Amino acid sequence: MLALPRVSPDGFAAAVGRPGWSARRGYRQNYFFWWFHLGWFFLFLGGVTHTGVTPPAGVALWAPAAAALVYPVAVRTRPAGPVALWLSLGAGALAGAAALDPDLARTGWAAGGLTLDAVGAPYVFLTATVTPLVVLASLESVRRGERVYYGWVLLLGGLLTLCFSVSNFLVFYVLFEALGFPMFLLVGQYGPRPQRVAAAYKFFVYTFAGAAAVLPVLVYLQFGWGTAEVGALRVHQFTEYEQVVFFGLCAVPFAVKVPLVPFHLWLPEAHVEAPTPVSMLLAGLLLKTGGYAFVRFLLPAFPAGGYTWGPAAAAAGVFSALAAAAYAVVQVDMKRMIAYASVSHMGVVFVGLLGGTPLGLQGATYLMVAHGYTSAGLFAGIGVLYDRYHTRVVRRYGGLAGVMPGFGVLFFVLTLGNLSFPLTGGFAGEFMVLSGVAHRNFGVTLAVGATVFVGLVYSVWLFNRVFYGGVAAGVRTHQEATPVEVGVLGWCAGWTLLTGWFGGAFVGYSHGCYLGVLHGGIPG
Amino acid sequence: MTPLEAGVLGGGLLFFVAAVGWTPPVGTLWLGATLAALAGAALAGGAANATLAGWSTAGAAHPADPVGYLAGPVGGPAWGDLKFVCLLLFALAGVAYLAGRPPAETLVVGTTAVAAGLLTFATDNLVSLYLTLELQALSLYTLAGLYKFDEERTDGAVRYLLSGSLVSGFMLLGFARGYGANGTFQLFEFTRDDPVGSAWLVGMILFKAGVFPFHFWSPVVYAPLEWGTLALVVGATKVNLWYLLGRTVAAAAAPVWWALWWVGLASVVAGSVGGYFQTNVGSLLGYSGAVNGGYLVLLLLGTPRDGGFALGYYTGVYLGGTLALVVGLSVFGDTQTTWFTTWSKLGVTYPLAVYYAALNLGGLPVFPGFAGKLVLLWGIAPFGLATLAFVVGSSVAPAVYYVATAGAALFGYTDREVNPPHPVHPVAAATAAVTAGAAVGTVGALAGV
Repeated sequence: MLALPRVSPDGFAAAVGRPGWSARRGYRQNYFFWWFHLGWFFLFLGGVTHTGVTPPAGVALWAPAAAALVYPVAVRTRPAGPVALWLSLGAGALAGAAALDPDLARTGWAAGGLTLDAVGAPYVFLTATVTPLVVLASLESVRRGERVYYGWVLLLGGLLTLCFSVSNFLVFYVLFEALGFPMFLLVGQYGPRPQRVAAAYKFFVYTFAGAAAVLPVLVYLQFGWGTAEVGALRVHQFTEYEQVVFFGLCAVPFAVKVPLVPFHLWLPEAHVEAPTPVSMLLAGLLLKTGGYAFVRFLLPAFPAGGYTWGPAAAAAGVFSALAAAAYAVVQVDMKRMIAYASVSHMGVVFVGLLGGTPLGLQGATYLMVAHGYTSAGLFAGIGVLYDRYHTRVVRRYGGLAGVMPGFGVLFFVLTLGNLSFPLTGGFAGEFMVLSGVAHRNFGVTLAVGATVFVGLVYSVWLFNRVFYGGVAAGVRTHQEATPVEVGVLGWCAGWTLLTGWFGGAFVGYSHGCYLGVLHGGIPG
Repeated sequence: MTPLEAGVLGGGLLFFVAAVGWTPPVGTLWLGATLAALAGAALAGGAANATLAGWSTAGAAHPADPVGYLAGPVGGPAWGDLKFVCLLLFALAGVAYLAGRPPAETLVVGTTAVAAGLLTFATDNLVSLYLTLELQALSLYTLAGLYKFDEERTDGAVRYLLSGSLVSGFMLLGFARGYGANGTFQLFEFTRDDPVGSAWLVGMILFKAGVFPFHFWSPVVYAPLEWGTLALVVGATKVNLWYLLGRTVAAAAAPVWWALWWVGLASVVAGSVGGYFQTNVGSLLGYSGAVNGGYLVLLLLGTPRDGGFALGYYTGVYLGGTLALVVGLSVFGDTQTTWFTTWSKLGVTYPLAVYYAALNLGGLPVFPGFAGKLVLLWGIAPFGLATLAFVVGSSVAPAVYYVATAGAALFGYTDREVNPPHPVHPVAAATAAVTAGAAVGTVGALAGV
């Protein structure tokens, strides 16, 4: 049972012996505060996974949603930020620990319409570890409407956890669509510039218009055939025509969400106009729902569709990866550059998803998880700079390595992850994707691999311009990253390195499960 | 009219008196009247349902319905539930009236319009049908042009009157022709023996419901209306039209079903395209009526034998959703105008109310409107995947402009001071009560399936 501490206005100030701190600034600046929370999270997560006493998945997967429901009650007498952080950490610890259960790869878990296996567990774990991070990053950057804001963030965490664990396609679709409503409000109401409204609107229109393509298929499955449960779909013998049509229609909204060029136009706008933590949420978690849908539903249910559409989809993925990387090179806004880098990485993911090999699928999943941490960290880093200097234009910066060295180190690690440097998660994921696709077509492998070079160009250029050279006029009055900012960036940088180390273990752990995704649906 | 239905009308009248005469200061009486009207409506819906359920459970032909068109599935909802929907919408229109101080004539004229509409449920005679429809139409003309110094409103009312009168004339001509051909004024015999006459009647109803190609009048008339009258004309006074259409379209559609199919599709397209360019919620709802009218025509053609479940359910969801938007905006927004430009900050204090109402009407997932859309798609599935895909594709445009509606309320900038009602304000509480009534009705209807 999660115990919520009662936070008095000067409680945190008293904790560090600094009378006079306001509660508002106190908990944001307090080392004790966030180390205590994060330490508790690590202890719990490590403890339960080490001992093997993981919480029942049926409880753990509902924990984030329950946290979102408890929040409005808990926040009535307490500061919004700490309450949200406690709740997200508690729920994240439960869900994350359940996702680390070593038996999942072998047996999986399914009950009550929820499933947790080696396909969904990485995404659940990503959600469990990034949602508290988003709350943490918001402590210093969200200054108005905090109570409502944290409510939306917790709700998104709850919806995402369920989204990554439901086994009914119709329910997944409803959750997938429901994710757009809080995000629409978060971008439209909390963005720093007036253009946020148009960006929110564009985000909503793109995602909703794309999602409409799935409806005819769902009506056919639910009313015509009787169920949209993936276990039943994968053993049902749809005709080849049905599989091709259904796969093609269902791929549209998920390609928009991934996003794939030319359906990507909403993403840079949404990222640029959203507040930093919301960008982290968007890049780190929401984009992954599109890729996850392919692995969980489309490929097992309509394998012939994947086979038929595979070459065209792979070509689209290659084009998307290369075009977005080229776009990233010419951007002058840092956030827009990282947004295009995300599109490029997700293009590589798309190629892995449709590559038709288990290793490609594993690589796509692994790259999405690694990208979740890397992109969230990079957006957090850009947010740190924007909070201080109120610009995201690259040429306004320079020489930050001298004035913010700690921040520079963390940003460098994240940049390495972004350019898929060895020993980072990006490298492990891309290596798996390229290896998997190479079994099918070496030309595609070479073409997708070219994005690594373009990624190197924009990543190094960005880091070089911002951190090296003479100190730009605007950055002479500086402030090193605060403890909370170090925590956020350190968390992401740490996971970027850890995911680079455990790629091989993931391949061995999940091979059987992903093999079943590709071949379990073929009758006989 | 049964004693129960008379009681319902009395309850509704009491509610309307309270709404028009004693606005929020006498909130207790008003709230009591609302609940009385709701209870009466529930009883009436139940009574009517029982009557029709008797037809369906018997499995035998009713004198007026030998093909079983009116009969629902055994134990399931039937056309009679539309009366419940009608009365519920009537109550919601009263809530919308509370946002302003309408003159007392509104009470008499509005109640007359709804009462006349309810009588069309009970009649099987063309003469009385004509009289009730005309009484309803005359009441609506009067409401539309009630403020004679409002130029825009008078203009809309005159157009409404002229075009409506033309259609009434044609309707009378059609009935006379039918009498000459068939020698009877019985509606059922008319629809059974005279497809041409039935088509005539269908065309007339399509005009009154604002369906393509007769949708031109509704945006012009709806745009200048105040919240209360807008709620009345887009809600309670439309239910009986869909009921009538259901009764006549089967016979009329048999030889020329493809023509109505095209009408349905064209109405969806015309409403979707036209609605995108509107800047006023009244005209937006006019085009929304064309879109949803198209859906309902397709539903009528696609599921003639399901006892009217799909049509009834979608009618309830669509009209209830429309009223939820109008009532929500009238209650939570402190402006009397329906232009988007004056909406900024409507969602500042109660963002979810506006957001919910708009997205629900857009048929987005999680909201009841999504369930309505699924039922709609299920109902038109017999037309094949192409029609299904077309309808789904065209449903995107209305959803987009409903989201724009929410955006106007949530994100617009204005220096206007906002004075939203307190959460326990009687208006808000009554809206919650009416919504709860609608939810109970919906769950009840679904439980019967």
